Amino acid sequence: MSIGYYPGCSLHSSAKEYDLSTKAVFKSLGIDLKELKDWNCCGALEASSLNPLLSLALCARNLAIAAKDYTEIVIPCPVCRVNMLRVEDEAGKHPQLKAKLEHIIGEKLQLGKVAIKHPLEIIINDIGIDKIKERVKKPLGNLKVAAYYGCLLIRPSRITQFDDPENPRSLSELITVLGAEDLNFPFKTKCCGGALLMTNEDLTFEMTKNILLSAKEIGADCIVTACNMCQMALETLCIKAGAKYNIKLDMPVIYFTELMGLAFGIKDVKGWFKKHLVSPSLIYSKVG
Amino acid sequence: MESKLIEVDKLDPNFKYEIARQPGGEKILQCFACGTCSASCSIREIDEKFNPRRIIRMAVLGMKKEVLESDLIWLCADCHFCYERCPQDVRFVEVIQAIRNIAILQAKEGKIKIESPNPLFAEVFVDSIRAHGRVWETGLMGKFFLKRRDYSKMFSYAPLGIKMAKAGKLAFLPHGIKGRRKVKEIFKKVEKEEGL
Amino acid sequence: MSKTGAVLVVGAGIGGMQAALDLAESGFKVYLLERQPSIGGRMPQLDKTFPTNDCAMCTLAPRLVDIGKHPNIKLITYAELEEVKGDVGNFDVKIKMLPRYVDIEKCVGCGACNEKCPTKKVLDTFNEDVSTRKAIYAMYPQGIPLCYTIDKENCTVLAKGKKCGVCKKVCARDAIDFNQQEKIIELKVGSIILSPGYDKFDAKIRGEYGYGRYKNVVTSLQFERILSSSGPFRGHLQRLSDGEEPKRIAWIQCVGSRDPNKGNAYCSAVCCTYAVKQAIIAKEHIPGKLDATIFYMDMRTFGKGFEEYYNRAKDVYGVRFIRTRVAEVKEIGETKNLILRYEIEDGNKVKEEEFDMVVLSVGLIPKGGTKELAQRLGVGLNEYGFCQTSEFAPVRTNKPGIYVAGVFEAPKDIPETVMQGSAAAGEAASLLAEARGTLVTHKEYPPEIDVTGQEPRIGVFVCHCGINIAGVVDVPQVVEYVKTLPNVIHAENNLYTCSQDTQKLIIEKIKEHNLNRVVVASCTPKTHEPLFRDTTRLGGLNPYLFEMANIRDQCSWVHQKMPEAATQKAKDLIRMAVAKARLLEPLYPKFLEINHEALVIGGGLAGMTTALSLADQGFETHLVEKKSELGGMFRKVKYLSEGDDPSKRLKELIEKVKAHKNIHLYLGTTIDSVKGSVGNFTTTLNGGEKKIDHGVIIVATGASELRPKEYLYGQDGRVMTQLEIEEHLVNPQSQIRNAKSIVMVQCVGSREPDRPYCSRVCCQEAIKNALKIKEINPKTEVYILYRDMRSYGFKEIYYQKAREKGVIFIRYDEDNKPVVSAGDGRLAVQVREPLLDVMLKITPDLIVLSPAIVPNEDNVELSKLLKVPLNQNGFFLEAHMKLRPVDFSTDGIFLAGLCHSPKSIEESIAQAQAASARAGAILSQSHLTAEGIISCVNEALCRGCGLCKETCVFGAIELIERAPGVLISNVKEGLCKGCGACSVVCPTGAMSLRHYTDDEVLVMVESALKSAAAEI
Repeated sequence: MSIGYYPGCSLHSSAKEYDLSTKAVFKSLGIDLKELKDWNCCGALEASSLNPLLSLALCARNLAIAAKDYTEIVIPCPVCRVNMLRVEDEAGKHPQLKAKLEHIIGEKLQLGKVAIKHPLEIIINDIGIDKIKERVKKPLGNLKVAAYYGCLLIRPSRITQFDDPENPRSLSELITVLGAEDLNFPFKTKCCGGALLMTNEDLTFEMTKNILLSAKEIGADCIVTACNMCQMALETLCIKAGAKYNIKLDMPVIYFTELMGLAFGIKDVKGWFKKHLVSPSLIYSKVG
Repeated sequence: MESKLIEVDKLDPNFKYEIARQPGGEKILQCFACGTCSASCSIREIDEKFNPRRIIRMAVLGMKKEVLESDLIWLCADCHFCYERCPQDVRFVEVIQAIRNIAILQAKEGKIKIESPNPLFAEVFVDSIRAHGRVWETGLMGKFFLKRRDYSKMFSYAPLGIKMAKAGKLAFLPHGIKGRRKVKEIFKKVEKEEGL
Repeated sequence: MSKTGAVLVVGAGIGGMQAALDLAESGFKVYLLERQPSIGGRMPQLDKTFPTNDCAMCTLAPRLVDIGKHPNIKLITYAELEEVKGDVGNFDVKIKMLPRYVDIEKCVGCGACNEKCPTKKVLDTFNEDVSTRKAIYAMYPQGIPLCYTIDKENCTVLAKGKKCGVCKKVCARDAIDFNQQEKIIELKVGSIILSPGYDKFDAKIRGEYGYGRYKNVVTSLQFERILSSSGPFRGHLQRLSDGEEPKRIAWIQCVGSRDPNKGNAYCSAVCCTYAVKQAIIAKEHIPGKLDATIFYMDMRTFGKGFEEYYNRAKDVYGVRFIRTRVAEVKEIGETKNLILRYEIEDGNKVKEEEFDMVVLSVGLIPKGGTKELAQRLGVGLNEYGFCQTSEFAPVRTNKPGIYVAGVFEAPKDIPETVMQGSAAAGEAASLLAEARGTLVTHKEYPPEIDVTGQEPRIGVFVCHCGINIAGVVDVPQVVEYVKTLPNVIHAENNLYTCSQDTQKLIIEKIKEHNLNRVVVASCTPKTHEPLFRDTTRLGGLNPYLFEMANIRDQCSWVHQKMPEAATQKAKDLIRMAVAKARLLEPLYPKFLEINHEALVIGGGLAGMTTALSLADQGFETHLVEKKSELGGMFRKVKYLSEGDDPSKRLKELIEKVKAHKNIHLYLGTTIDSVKGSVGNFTTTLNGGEKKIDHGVIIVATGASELRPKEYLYGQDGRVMTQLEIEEHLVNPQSQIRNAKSIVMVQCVGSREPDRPYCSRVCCQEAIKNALKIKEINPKTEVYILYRDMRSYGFKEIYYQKAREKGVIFIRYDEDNKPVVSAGDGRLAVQVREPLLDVMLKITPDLIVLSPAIVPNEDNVELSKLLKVPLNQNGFFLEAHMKLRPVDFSTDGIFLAGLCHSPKSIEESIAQAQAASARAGAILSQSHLTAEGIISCVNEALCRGCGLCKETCVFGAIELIERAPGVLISNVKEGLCKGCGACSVVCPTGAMSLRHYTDDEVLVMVESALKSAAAEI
């Protein structure tokens, strides 16, 4: 079985380990992720700041590409996924906008044809937690994990249609089934401010600092996330915390797919971990 | 203390309709000022100056210039708590986008001045897409800091850059997609539609 | 084909019960269908009711009993409406009876089955899941019918097929039947009234408040159960996490209401006032130690007496009111306390505040299953799933012969539900007028036992009233004491002496012990004496051989902190009652002929509606209007938000009134005097020009718009009232067409110390006119300066629409009112904008004021003529704010429309129809039964001095010439109210009041003093 795969720009660069681990984990679950042909950037949060139509048009092109070969695509980056889903929502509600977008991209849009999913959504809703349980080779015994959802994975729920926007449970379910300890993490749905990292660093760092300190306070060995933007923002502060606040923050922030890889006994985990800016190697010793 | 006096005659009553006509701005007028957005706001938790309810209120009353020139309108981090919780479904995240869009158009026409670095970053970011079809992170960061002449910020990222390079995450050259021309076409058509 | 004289009422909550009682009293057979095992609906779940803080159960219980024993009402409980065929006047109805697995004919509700049932952990839905119950259960102790029900899903036998059957083994009446099946019954009815009630909004949808996750976050209905003395904690206010008494409680308003994003766009209309009530009651539970805080957006205390109630909560009880919508609730892990995050209106900071408990004021939604019900009946619903009705026919569905009452029509409180219940009954009664009396049965009483010459044999029944009495008074000790009193043959205690099963028990005890006097020690005779008298009569005794001791209102409630002294006082009170009971004598009420015509005073919308409805019911109706034309305030209404044309409606209404053969119209006519009493009034009109005899009176004299004295009104032509601009908006001239901006000021003369009430309709009126202005010219800026927007119910949608159209709403405080000036030819308004903390200066072309609705000045005179009361604001005061909203406490006199309190068109119409139903219930009787307790004259002692005649305010005494030159007093029995004033002034002791004779009263005094003497 194969599903279309839209990695988005950051999974090809700063979030390489997310890209690799997602593909590996899905493969081990018997699903081939096939990258969309010649996809383009979704416009992230920046295109809509300048012009919402541009953001929609960039995504519309990707959706048109996807619709040629697939009925289901998976998008690990929550920002990209929300952007794509917005096209479906907006163009679905306003036929004029749909026509406009078709004119801009020079192709027809087949709304509703392609299911746009996050990998976590497929794991929880389609594959099911019981199947995951069967796969676990190395239960993550002593590992204490802070599940961190951030924002765009679950909000706006009207668009994302996945998990509870105020009290999400999916990552916790997964962490538990992998054998690790799911901590009660008060900051699990807080914003990391990643969108403002480049422009308003101080703000972002205050936000990421609070998240990291809270994870530390509850005794987490690592933070597990499903968002590359959050991961980047959190790791960035870890690197800059010394210079900025004169404190040491070295909380590993890993992707849920990496945690699955670890529990599934996938050998490549080591390689993924090497790509982290804050080394998660301590996790190894914990898991044994 | 006496409150500041504002003469409504000098405000722009059409501003609220102007926002409501923008995509995403449609629901601004639904606001009944309950304050849910402000107390839900992730940015407001860190920076008290940022107050979504006040931004909407100022916009609705017609305080156009004050709103459009404010750095604050660029601070929303897209966390969508206000969007979820707003009882009137105002969708502040989208309203603020609509306000930003107006600000950018007005700035282009020279009617207002924007001090915030955010639109510049967005422009650099989007330029990168226009050029390559995808974002070239290394290039756009460099360009942004250079344009801002923010060398100290740029240097502060050196240790991070080195780490990324070691991890093989730093692309020294952009990766252009095959359909670059198609993407450029999209930009052109959008500009024609909207006047980017 | 002739019509069927029976009505099906679907849903036996307070609205359905009212409709059933009114129809049953008016001579129709009523089938009262209820989905639950017991009738009562939501009201029995409530602790107290606003704005009088009356105990819900106490006001409701007698009504439940009335329903339960009414010969014309057939209760069909635990059943659903399956199918309706046929047409108006003749519906064929199929009803599905669900299996209770308990034979309702055999079960006496002893509860032995419940005691032994091993399945204990079933969530108790009556207690809103705050506690658990067993698989075999009774919904609540006072429930009617008191019959147990097995809940199939949780019974070990029925759900799991196991051998348990303990209930069957212990049931002495062999009432358990595991083989019961669904059963279809068929009925023929002429009309159907739908009153299925409501459900509450699922608070889990607003996940940020943590309902379902945090134990100490509860819904408002759960809180009612927590407060209730018959609730799971017996009235001890406690947290669900640890049973501790909370010190800080927060109420969060509008959970699921005014929330088109995740809840419902409409306002649920009752939550503000119920939160105020809950805060007050909670403070009374934990005096001096509880901080109660209500978080609200607009405080919508718009009903009669509600604003004063709100003020009392603030000023007397110290309830904190914070204007904001709470963003989020977080739980503190260790303490299970809750942190609320919010930003106040003019605050620059987001606040976090800790509470021990949070109550979510959840909104009302249509009852589950009503959508299917409506489909089955072909009844139209609005977009929110409530029944579609129209402004001028508020209780009519789109299907002829099918009516609606209560929350199914729109969110509303108890009195309005009761009004609609009566109104629907009125509509059905008009429809089926020709079939009245064709299907009814008459109540049968056993022959009366002659107790003459018998030694008193007294039975005493002492009520626990849940913990209302027993929580303070040691009831078992009292009973033991009472048993020692002379002539007391039997004494016992009951959990609720008023419940229907206890009535049966009293009757049994009368027979068992040959009792000839009955004493009940419980609550107030005001509400409960009629019930117990009837029970006494059903036991074969004259109803006046009954005496009551009030050990609740006059004892346990007022001596809450002194249980021992209260117990002693209860003994004293009962001893006094027993002493009197020994002397009681049978009394025999008189039957009086009645006049079957009605007098309606006031020819406005309410008066005309009542008159038409009564006339349609077949009663001759005299409609008196002091002005030379009909219409009243309604004349000034020019258009409506919903689009209907009021002028056309007015014309139609007037034509109908004038053409109706049963209506006699008296225009330009005033009332000089009203004599007589229910059933037999005589009214003199226009200086004695005409006399009318009639059996009932309906007061519908209306109200008027205040002439403001402020904001340059009357000094500057550009300042006008809402009704004045409405006139202009119909045919807008350039002044309006070209206006750049218009400012409206709300609460002009309302909600102020001099006139504390809210005028209720001004917010919707302002919105209506603002929308009209925007329709005429979208470029006109409209600013509405308000204190709280009170667009309750579906009116909220128009508030939303007005904002959408660009109308700007600016809030102001009572102590910082807008300032209007007119310097250099321009109007200017200065007002503080609280969100930005700035002063706004607006220079509008017009200023529109929303003045108070004020009662008519001649209400005072009319209230004297009719001997009916006014409230402190000058509006007429009904008999009971909750359950008798259209009756005066004087029999045979009713009220409707604006003279009762400010209200909207549909509310006036509903109340008018209700008044007609209530009046019709009297007029349809063949005769009336006069009170037995009236004054009588001992002619041997009377000297004919006439002091009694001068004293009697009811005109019930006359002097007659017994022999030439010998005057003596005579009591006109139909008019005497039994007040006893005559017997007090009588210098010779000739005049005495039956049932309160000197002997009977003195023996009580002696009995009371005996104890005092013993103490000394």
